[in-house]
Amino acid sequence: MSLLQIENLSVNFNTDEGTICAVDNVKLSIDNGQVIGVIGESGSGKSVMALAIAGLLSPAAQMKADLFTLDGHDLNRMSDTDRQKMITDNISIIFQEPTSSLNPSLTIGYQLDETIRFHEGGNKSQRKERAYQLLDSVGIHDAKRRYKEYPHQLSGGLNQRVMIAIALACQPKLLIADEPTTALDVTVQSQILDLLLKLKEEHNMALMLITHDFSILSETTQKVHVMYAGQVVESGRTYNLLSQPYHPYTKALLESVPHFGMRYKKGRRLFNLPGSTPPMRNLPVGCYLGPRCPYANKQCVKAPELTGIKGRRVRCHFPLIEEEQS
Amino acid sequence: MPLLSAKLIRKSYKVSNNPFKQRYLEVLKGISFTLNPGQTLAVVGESGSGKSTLARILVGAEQPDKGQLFFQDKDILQDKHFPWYQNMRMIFQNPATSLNPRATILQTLEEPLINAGQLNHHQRLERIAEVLELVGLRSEHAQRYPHTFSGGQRQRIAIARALMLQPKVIVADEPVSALDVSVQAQIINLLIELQEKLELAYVFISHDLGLVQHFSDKVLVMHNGQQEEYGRVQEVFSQPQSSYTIELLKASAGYKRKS
Ligand SMILES: Nc1ncnc2c1ncn2[C@@H]1O[C@H](COP(=O)(O)OP(=O)(O)O)[C@@H](O)[C@H]1O
Ligand SMILES: Nc1ncnc2c1ncn2[C@@H]1O[C@H](COP(=O)(O)OP(=O)(O)O)[C@@H](O)[C@H]1O
Ligand SMILES: [Mg+2]
Ligand SMILES: [Mg+2]
Repeated sequence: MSLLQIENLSVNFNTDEGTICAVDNVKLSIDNGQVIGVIGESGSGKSVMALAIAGLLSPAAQMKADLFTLDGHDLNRMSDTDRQKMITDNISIIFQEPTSSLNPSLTIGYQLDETIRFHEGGNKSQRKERAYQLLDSVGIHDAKRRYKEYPHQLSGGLNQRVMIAIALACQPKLLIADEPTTALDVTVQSQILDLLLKLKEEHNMALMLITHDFSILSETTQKVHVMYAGQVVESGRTYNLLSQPYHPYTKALLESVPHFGMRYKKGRRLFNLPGSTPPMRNLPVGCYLGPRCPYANKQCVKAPELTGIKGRRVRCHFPLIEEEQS
Repeated sequence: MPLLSAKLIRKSYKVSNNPFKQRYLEVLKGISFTLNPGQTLAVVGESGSGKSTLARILVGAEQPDKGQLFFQDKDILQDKHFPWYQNMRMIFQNPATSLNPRATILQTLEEPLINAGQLNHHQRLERIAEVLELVGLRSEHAQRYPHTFSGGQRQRIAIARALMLQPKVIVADEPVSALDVSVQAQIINLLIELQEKLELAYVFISHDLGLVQHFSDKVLVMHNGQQEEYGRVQEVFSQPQSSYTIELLKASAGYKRKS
């Protein structure tokens, strides 16, 4: 059964330069225990979408969704307080910068205790036991010592483990990990991903992994959504999408990074798209990729819809599937 | 004759101000390499391993405690008059903060020419137009301020500034890490093109081993200031000798799920 189902989710911000649409009619569903990926370059709306789902948008943001159900409950028909409670009881989120997401002036223990008190309550010694247990479950085995320490005394990787422990305190059904390893060294990255996948199994949580690195997705996720300028431009099963992208943007993302382990001739040029991602206050007419797209033609001044093609959804007038038919 | 060669470069920083208990952090523990014209040396390693410190030493922004640096066989650490600016220049990771926001592109690019004092005003403008074109920008761009450019264009401007005095070596400290992949590819292609046209030598600091493999001739692996391994990219990557290099290569081969 779908744990989370969202249709036409939009988030707007009023800025000095007019209204921008940071998330534009996104459709998304996650099953219990499923791992899905969201990939896109910076500014494509990944974090805003994550915050919207986790109920953490600033009051200035205008959010709307035609459908928003969580664990069978229709959040659109709940009061604000009920909706907020439903979300905080079931969805947790961790961020890219663990060290700055934690409060530098409070101990690890205090920050963990705050969350436990909020979700489970219990007396002081019960909460402490629970905190040790949570720290242990994220691979921090000297829990008693770390409990008394401050974030700056821990490495980035350890702080991310602490963030995960705090996120687990509510026993969430969905954990959103917003670029959880981007700021960490490669050798630490794989440890954190291993941990997230292990916890997912143990707690039967769903996991939404936001990243800009395809190599992470292929090993971890069943489904991927590719975002560009606030829109989902392609989504489908990870393996199919990575091995044969239909959207020119997905193809460009895949081909513009040299893959480690390949031998390249000296001086070989990398594939790339001209120009750069347009600012959200100044998007092109029609298809947002149009001016950068090698396949664009006259028809692309008309905005393409997200259309179902062979089990995939693609927002393009000219999806790259010709070769397969001949 | 190599263009640039470093011999056992060492550097420590004082990390305690207590005069009775002086403590030093050894950031570089003997780094050596050679670099030929038109070649790229990649420097890889985790954050804190000393890469940026090495970069600052290579462009003369900092003095090592020990070791020698030869430029075309001249011992340049002993030469008080060595014109660092005209031979080695640096490009930084974040083009948003490395350009002066209050200066037009023209002012930014003209500054090194004025300091060098070799060209008159007209010649300077000509040189600026020439270099802007070289990095894929247009001379009209010279009148604008940095904030009106995208991240990728700003990195082009930073590259233009580094090229103004026709240096032989460019030290690039994570030059594409802050850029989106589709823009990153443009900048890497530009660096390759400039290398071919100008016979530039690069010291390319990066944590992306895929890029390093694509882009470099030699690689120097650093770990806690130690030179773990140094050699041709193909050799080091196909037959790593140090256990740290092996670990780094394994981690960079993409995430592999444990189970
Ligand atoms: N509070 C805000 N006010 C105005 N604009 C915002 C706000 N938060 C995010 N944005 C804009 O929304 C867009 C999407 O941002 P974000 O979701 O952070 O991108 P990503 O996580 O994909 O890098 C960006 O253009 C950003 O500038
Ligand atoms: N000016 C300085 N004073 C004291 N310590 C420094 C200074 N500059 C760098 N360090 C330390 O030297 C080590 C190496 O830093 P750096 O060269 O920036 O590494 P990298 O670029 O590989 O991340 C780090 O531990 C850093 O904290
Ligand atoms: Mg983000
Ligand atoms: Mg550095």
